[in-house]
Amino acid sequence: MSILIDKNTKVLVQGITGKSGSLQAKIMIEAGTKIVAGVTPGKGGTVVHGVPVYEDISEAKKEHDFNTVISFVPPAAIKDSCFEAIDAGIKLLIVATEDIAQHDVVEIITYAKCHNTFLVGPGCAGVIVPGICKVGSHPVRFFRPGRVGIISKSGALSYEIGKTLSSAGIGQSTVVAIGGGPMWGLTQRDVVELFDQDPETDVIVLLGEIGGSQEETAAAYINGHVKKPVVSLIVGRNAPQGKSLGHAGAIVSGNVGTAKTKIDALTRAGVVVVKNPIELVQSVRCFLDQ
Amino acid sequence: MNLYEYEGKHLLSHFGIPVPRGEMVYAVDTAAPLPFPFVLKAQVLTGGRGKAGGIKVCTDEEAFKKNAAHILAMTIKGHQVHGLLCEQMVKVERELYLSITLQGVDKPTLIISAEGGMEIEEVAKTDPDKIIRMEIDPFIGLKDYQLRMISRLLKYPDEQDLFTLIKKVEQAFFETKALLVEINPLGVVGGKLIALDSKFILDDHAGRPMRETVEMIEQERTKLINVKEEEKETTTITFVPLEGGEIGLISDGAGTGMLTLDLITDEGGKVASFCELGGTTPAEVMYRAMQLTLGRGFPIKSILVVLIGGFNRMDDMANGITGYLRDHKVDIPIFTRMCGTMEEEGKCIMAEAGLVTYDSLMDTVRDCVKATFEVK
Repeated sequence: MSILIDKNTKVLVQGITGKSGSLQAKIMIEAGTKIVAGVTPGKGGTVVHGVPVYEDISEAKKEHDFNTVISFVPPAAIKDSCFEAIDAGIKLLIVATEDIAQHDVVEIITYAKCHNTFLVGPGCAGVIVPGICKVGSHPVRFFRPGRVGIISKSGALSYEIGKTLSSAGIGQSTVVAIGGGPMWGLTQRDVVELFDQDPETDVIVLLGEIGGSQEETAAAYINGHVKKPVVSLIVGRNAPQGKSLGHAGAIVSGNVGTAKTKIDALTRAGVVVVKNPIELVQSVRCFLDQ
Repeated sequence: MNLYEYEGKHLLSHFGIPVPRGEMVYAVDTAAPLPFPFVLKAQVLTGGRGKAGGIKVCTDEEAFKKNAAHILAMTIKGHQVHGLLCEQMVKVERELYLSITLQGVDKPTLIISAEGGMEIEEVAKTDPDKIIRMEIDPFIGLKDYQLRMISRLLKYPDEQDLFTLIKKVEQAFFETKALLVEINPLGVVGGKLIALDSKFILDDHAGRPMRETVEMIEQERTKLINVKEEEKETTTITFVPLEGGEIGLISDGAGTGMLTLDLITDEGGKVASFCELGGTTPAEVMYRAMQLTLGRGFPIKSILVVLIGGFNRMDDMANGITGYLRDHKVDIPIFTRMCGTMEEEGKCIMAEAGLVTYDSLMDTVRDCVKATFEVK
């Protein structure tokens, strides 16, 4: 068991003939992911890395079974692609595309929620279950199977912490990166809930960053609901006010979104908040040994 | 893109929202564009103009000349004034607040308050009950019951005028795909609602909604004065200069960049600039990052490059760094942590150029900070 994806995950890739889509499809297949079909309008009938490409999802559905869609469609067309995937009744939609208009993001998120589709992203690295499969761009080499669940906004930060834990001999059950925001489908709180229910996860690592109030919402949920130990690292403690540091969502305005309010809320919820990767490894190891 | 007040008002009136009659003035020697009396308002992309003296009533030619010269030369909160909006005087009976935003919220949110004119954050502190917040369904828009609720809570006498105005602002917000439309104050003049100020933020990723109008706005912008030629970064790079500092930080991820910024600070080092490469990055973007980091015209003591390649290829990154060093004389140390896609190839290229690469982030940070101490 793992969360969101597992050995039964069958994936359709939207935008599989594009530069990112094709490269990532190849890497995902090498990582053991079952990619059964691709979709690119105008490219139906072609084959990419052995995967048949269709004009649209309904055409692919006649030939294949799949339960997950990952999308690399460019920003101008992503909204319609997401609607198509959600209408097809798939249960998990992962959107890798960045720089989508916020009005489109709101529509995608709202539509996914109305149809009970799990949406990861947009603008995210996706999900990896080490040793089994991955749907997204996590490099396999940084991860190894184990019992720590990682939830992160930043993709790179989830690689960094995965790498640090793996080289300390600590493996991961599932690693989820939901994107830099400022709006999200699945939130940190949602993923923490999934990890708490997952019998294969013993310790939850929550990687947060400045901006917004997701970490606070997750803290409110953890307090009283979550029984498993949670270790958290919040980055951007020394970021300047009012400047967005590479993630659209990572911005402190006034008293909202500061690292301090997040660290305080998490600490009050009983979460162990660490300052760096070394402390994180020590703390996680401590909980695993208990 | 942030719009100036006059640009925002142009958009508002496009959607049928009443605004006072106004004309732009860009130079001191302009003839008065409206009959006296009128108000001169500094056009600048920051709040607090009134307090800073950037809004003046002019009753005659002499006052106009004097005020225009004064305001056009002003700098408000570090922003130079770019022009003057000359606006017809109106007799304001009441001031309200109205905005629709997508910033810091999960759904489009309408905020309306019986108290306008001051900052909404202030009202939120002193009189939170006076603020009505309502989520707008992106597919359906404001529903009738929501409008009735607003009317009941706001106790505004002319319900029809209020509803019409709110619906028009809603239309402006959705059709321009704006991140924020704010009217503060929303005045009552002669018993009718009128936008006395406007703040608009358009979404740079929204393509071109209302192409013609936006193009016209951009064309009009060429008339603005005192505009510093700001170099617009054409790559995926986010470059944030920080106050002071000694270490130029470059990272290929926002999260790892922020982590490294914290680690450097914890070790006692000071970061001079934050540079995130973004997306899938070719060697040229790494080259550009080196250029931005070193080209700020003040000395830094070292560069710290943190790379953890997913989409990024380390051979490309190494070529970007070594290419820059071939073309430029750099006499400060460069500390590079390199891992991920094509790691071995990247490390090889770095080694051939005589550059050390690290594997551990903590070790890289420690050595880099230590080196800046030694330079002192």
